[in-house]
Amino acid sequence: MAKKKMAVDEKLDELNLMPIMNLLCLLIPFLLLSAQFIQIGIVLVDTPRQSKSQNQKKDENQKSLGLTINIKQDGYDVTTKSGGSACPQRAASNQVCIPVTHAGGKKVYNSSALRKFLYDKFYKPHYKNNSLDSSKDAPKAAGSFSDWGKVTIVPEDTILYETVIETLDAARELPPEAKNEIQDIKGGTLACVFKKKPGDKEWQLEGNCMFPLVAVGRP
Amino acid sequence: MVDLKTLDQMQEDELPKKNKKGPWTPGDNPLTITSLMDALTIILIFLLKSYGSDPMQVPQKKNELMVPKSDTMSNMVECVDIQISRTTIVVKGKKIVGVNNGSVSSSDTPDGFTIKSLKDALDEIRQKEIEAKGAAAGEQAFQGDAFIAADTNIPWKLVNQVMMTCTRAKYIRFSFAVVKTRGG
Repeated sequence: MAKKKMAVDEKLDELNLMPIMNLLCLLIPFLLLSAQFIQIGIVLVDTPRQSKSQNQKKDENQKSLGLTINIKQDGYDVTTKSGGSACPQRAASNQVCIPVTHAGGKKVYNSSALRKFLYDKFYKPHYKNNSLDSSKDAPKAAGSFSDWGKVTIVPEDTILYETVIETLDAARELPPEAKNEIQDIKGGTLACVFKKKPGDKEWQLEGNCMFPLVAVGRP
Repeated sequence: MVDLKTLDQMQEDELPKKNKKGPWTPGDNPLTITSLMDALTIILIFLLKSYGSDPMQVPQKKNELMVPKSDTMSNMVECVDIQISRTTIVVKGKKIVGVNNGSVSSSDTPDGFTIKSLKDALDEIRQKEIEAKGAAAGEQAFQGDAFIAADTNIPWKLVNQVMMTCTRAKYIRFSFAVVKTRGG
């Protein structure tokens, strides 16, 4: 009887949420102030010196492409180790390969034209003989380059940092038409991603890349 | 007889009816804050996630440090971070040298390429990193990665000077900070 009476007298009080509410109201403004709503990514680059020392380890009999993009005041100039300028006709008249355009009184570097130029002139004719995936010891196909996937970008001193980043993007990824023209596009995406696991020393490449291994600066 | 009332009188008659119950007191009808709690908890989780996802933070400040946009999908890893804004060069949150009109003063770069105070700071960080891992193993494990966050309008010459200084301090691989324009 006594037990039954006690159960009747018990009243459940509502949970007091006020202290938690106070805590949340303090935490949210603090986190809102320190939160980053933009996503920061990275573009990997090497110095020409580092890139050169890695090249020396490879087969010295193999030919090298020596692709170089010079960012000049009047546009992009593309050269190779073997044949000099990649656009000999324009070079003969002292013109760069891809000239700058002007929009709203501002100089605009045509990075999409550069991407297409690199794809048409260097990537498409040679990609079948070259691969970024093949192991170092695997025999190379005839016509392959020892420095496939590598490019040196040489900006002039006054070029803005933003233009250099646009150039890096243009060299790294394939243009949209590659999706239809290249049969073995992995995963159907044109993204080229560098990944590194914690503790690993080397970065790994994933996806479909054009010339992702960039050295910036004068060789 | 018809009782004619003015508009004001009619409003006065109605007013006491509206406030019949009297003012609200906590005892009458307790405030339900459970739904508010749910909303705040969701916001808190979202903010905590966006706060802790990247190993390093790049503060975006207008007219000071605006990182360029890129369609890269690569994510950053933790390494020594160098910020080149329009007014200063900062290494790991510590101001190293001032920048004026996109260049450092000639007294800071005796040979025209190496920024002396930046090299000293990087040497110190490298030494600490090696000592933390043990002298012999630390030298082997040292990766030499540097993360550079520079403003869009900084001329290449200054970025190149920073890179050359890094190379002399044995930081040989660089990742440039960019704002991602596509997810991944």
